[in-house]
This record gives sequence, C-alpha cells and structure tokens, in this order.
Amino acid sequence: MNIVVCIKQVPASAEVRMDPETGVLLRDSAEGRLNPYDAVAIEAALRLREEGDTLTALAMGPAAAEKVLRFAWAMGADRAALLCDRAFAGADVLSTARALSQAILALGGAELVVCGRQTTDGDTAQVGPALAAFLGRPCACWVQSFAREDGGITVEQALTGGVGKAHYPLPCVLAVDKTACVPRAPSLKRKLAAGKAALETLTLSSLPDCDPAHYGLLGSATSVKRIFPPERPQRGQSIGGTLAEQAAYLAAAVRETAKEGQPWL
Amino acid sequence: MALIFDAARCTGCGACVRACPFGVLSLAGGHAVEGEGCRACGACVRACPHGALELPKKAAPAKKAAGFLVFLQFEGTKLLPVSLELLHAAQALAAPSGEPVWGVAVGHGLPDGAFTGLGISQAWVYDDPVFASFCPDAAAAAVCDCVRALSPAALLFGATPEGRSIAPLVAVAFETGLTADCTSLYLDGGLLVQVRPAFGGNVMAEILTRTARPQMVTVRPGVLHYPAKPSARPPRILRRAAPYPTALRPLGFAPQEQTGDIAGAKFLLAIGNGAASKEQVALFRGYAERLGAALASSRALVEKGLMPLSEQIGLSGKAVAPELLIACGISGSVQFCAGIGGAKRIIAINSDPNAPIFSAAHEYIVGDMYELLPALLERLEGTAG
Repeated sequence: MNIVVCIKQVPASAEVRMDPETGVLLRDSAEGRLNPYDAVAIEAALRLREEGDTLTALAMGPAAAEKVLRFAWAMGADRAALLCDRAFAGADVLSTARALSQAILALGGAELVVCGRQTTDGDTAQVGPALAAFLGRPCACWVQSFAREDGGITVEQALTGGVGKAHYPLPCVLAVDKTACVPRAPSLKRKLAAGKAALETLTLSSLPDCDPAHYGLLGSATSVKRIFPPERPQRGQSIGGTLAEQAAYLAAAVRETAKEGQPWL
Repeated sequence: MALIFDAARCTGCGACVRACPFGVLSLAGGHAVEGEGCRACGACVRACPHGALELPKKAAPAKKAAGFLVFLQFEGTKLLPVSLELLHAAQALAAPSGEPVWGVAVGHGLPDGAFTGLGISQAWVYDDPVFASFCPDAAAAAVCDCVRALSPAALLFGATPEGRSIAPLVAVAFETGLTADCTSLYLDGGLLVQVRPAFGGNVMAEILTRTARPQMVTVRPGVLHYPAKPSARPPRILRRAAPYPTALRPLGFAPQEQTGDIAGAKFLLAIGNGAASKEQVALFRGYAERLGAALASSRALVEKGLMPLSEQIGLSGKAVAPELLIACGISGSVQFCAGIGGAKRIIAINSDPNAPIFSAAHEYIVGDMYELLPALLERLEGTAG
C-alpha cells in the first residue's frame, strides 16, 4: 500500500521578535530545519511500513524545502515529493490542507497518511485533521502509540482526562505526538546518497484540481488583520539587595505557600 | 440533493464511492451514480481525482449567518470549565446585537438538567451510544448538522484534544477558516477578531474570516475571563441521534491520574532555557522536590526533549493557577505567559535585566538562579526544626 508522510520545513528558530517601534519582524535567522514533530511522523511511518509498501515523503514549500525531503529519504523514505508553486503562497490551514490532499491524490493516493502533531511555526495542529477531511477519511490526532493490525491502525490517543484507544480502519490519517516514538538517525550510507536521490516536483498543474483560486492566499478563508507586539504590562516589583537578602525574601514567600510535611517547616 | 456528474471525465475509479461518508454512491456501468441520502457534504467532489463531480451551485443565497454556537464538551455528564468560559465570552460578544447564543453537545445519557443555567436559548444535544466514546468523525457530523440548521455567524470550540480534533473537520465541511488557540476575541464591524500569538509567541496576530461562515475558533482552556451571567431560564432542548455512524472502533479509555498535575499544583517551580541541559534539569527537579513544589517548564525544554509535555506551561502546554510560581531562567514569551494568567503570585529570577518575564511577574530578581536556589534551600533547611 501507499503511505505518505507530510512534513514541513520551519524556521530554525521559532522565536521571532517584533520591533515595537517599527513593527518590523526580527528573525534570528533564515535557516530552515525539519519541523521537529515531523521527524517523529517519519519514524512512525517507517515503523508502519510493511514489505511491499511505498513510503513517500511530501512537503509543500519553497525550493529550499527539498533539504527536509532529502533528510526524510535518508531516514528511509522510498520517494520524496516537493509541492512547490507560487500559487500556494500565503496559504492558511484550509488552503494548505486542500493542496496537500490534492498532492496525495496526484501521487497516486495513499491508504495511510502520517503527519506530525503540529508545526513549530504555525502551531495550529489542524492541518492533519483538515487534510483528512478533504480526503474524506477519519483522522486520529494526539497519537501516543500505534500498531498496524486488522486492516487498520490501532492507536492510543491523549484525550481529556486520560488515554483513549481505538482502531482506525484504513484508509486513515494519523497525527502523531512527539512521544509516540524516537526518530532514528539516518544511516551514513543513505545520508551520503540522499544528495543524489531523485526528488519529484509537483506544481499547481500536477493537481487534479488545478484552479488557482482554491490555493494559497486566494483559497484561504482567513486573513491577517494586523500583527502587533504583545502588550507588556508594568514590570513587577524588583527585589534587590544581597544574595542572602534575596534568598530570605524567597524563603518567606515559599513558607507562605509550602504544603505541610516539609522537613524545614 | 443531486450531484452533477461529468460522465466524460469519470473513469469509474471509485474514489468518490470510498470517500462518501453516507454510502450514497456506487459504481454502475463504469461510472459513479448517486443513490438516496446525499447530504451535499462534498467529500466525493474533493476525493475525485478527475474533477468529474460537482456540487450543485447554491440556488438561493445562504440564510444570513447570525448567532454564536458553542461546542459544549462534557466529561461524562460534567461540563468542562472551558465550555463555560466560551459561553461567557459568547454572551458578552452577543449582548450588544442581541444575537442568540446556542450550545451543541455530543454525548450519551446527557440529562436535560446539564443545560440549565448556562444562559443559552437552545441546546442541540446529539445523544447516541456512538458518543459514549470519542469518535471525531461522528461528532463532526453532528456539529455540521447543527450548523446547517442554525447558520451561526461564529462557532467556538475549547482547544481540548477533542475540540481540536473535531473543529478542523467541521471547518473543511463548510470550507471556512479556523483559528487555533485564540487568547482573546472581540467584534469589529460585525466580524469576529480572532487574536492569537504567532511566530512562536512574541508577536500577536489578529485573524479575520471575512466571508466564509461560520467564523470558527478554538480557545485554550483558562485564558478567557468574561464574567458569568447566570440564567435560570432553561434552554429549549433539541435531542438528536448521530447523523451517521463512526468509521472507527473504540477500544476503551484509561483515565489518567490527575495528582502531580501541574495544572492543579499550588506551588510551582518553573524552569526555561536557563537550565538547558539534562544535568541542570535534574538539579532543579531535586530543588523542586526539596521545596515541595511541582516542577514545570517553558516550551524550550520540552522541544529539546529535556522535559515532558505534561509539565509544560503555556499556550501549547497547560494553563496553571498556583498560589506561588517561581520562574527561573524563563524569558517570558507570550506563549509562556498565556499559561500563567491564573497564578496568584509570580516571582521571576533571570540574569537578563530586560527579560520580558519581569513584566508578567509580581516580583522579580535580576540574579543567578544557580546561586539563588541553593541559598534559598540553605535558608529553609538550615533553620529547620
């Protein structure tokens, strides 16, 4: 069967500051890296792959995003495809999920799609379930453990107040949590070969639905009204003095709230 | 509902048949055909790789969207606090225009009494055995059914694991926007302004859903603080069964111990990038134990794999409400500060005199946490007994 793992290149540092005077975004670096949640998704997909399956890594992004696809290939993916077109720029969750779902169809469809729980830049955790909705399949989010059995995937999910267990029949989509498994390091051999691995490139015209109005900014339902630096309330009270005086101040605060049974109470 | 088929494009591949959640489509004579019961959900249109299917164009303009619909999440028969927070927010937002506030719930064996005093005019209750377990597909179908009936202007979910699983399915069904993890909401010119931290939390973004409806958001538990407006008037309760069954097979639920949970802790010692190694984290875990505090952290340490997600404070972690929070080596991103609004007393320690955390803290010390904590413990333990 076909398995697709959706991955994303994110800024190396998720922390971006805004100059409060000018409103200009100050990025630490333009370096990209693999979304850390997606390394877990690749590992999960590799573990769910059985003899005869094909695992394809799929990323949407600029040409530079091929770096993360080569990494996925080095980890063990059979194919890697980059969905890259200016038409996809400025996509929100709806528009991103639509593009990815169409790319999966263009790749020949997939019985199993694996995503990371969320990205560190968008931080929505919504693309996985949204793309499942576009594909018309159930999606298991917050996956803590997974096993392929009985024509589907048995998962444990972190839910409110506990852990739910369920069997999701194929075809389905999984959004795996970081704790689901530990990503392997690519072997040296594949790492060296990854630079020459053939990447497939998909553009708008590769998709079954190639209406540009459905993608990118045009196909997005949300728009950004404005961005602004968060309000910083007045600073708190400064506790100065010597180290001993500061420690005494802290000790008084701790004594007020510490629970009974502390040896020093 | 009659779908529009383009026989010239249809190859009879069956993608639409597999995608149809209602089992309405089948293959006949090498082409897809429609049976009874199409709900125009569009799953087949999206699944068709050949563009051979279309939904009929909306003949009449959709009913003007108005009103606020809140997804009411129950744990058993107990309404989650986040649902109340959403109701209070919706009531405050709806008050100037007098628009209605409704609730929609999925569950099994939910008594009418669970919906009184909430200040809603209608409660749509999808009560069905399937909802005894968490089945996001069936839950989303129920919410979609309610949205079709009510045409709300806005639909609000708590950003719980369940809410965040169901909401995207509903958003795609209506091809509308969904803003995750909002920290505040307000109305501007009739549009719902959805405020959330962006770019890791040092920038705030205001998001609009200009034309699509409903305007959808998820909101973190514990961040909205609108005054409660209790209402004794019981809502009109509309009971429904599940619109369609789930694709998945639930296999049980294991409740988790809530003890030791940072969300309920009275005294928290929180660490951040100032303790960015395994050894340093272990050192502070020892300090926390000796202080009788629960150890928590900012996202940075969770991302590095040094602390578990269950002990993360902030927007992508937990909202906490301790009596005392000592924050050590935490810069104080918006993402972190969104989780500490409920803390009664915050003392921050940081070596950077310009650390943003000093604005969120009630008291702060510019200093070295590696000197201060041992000094604190020496002070406490040295005077024991």
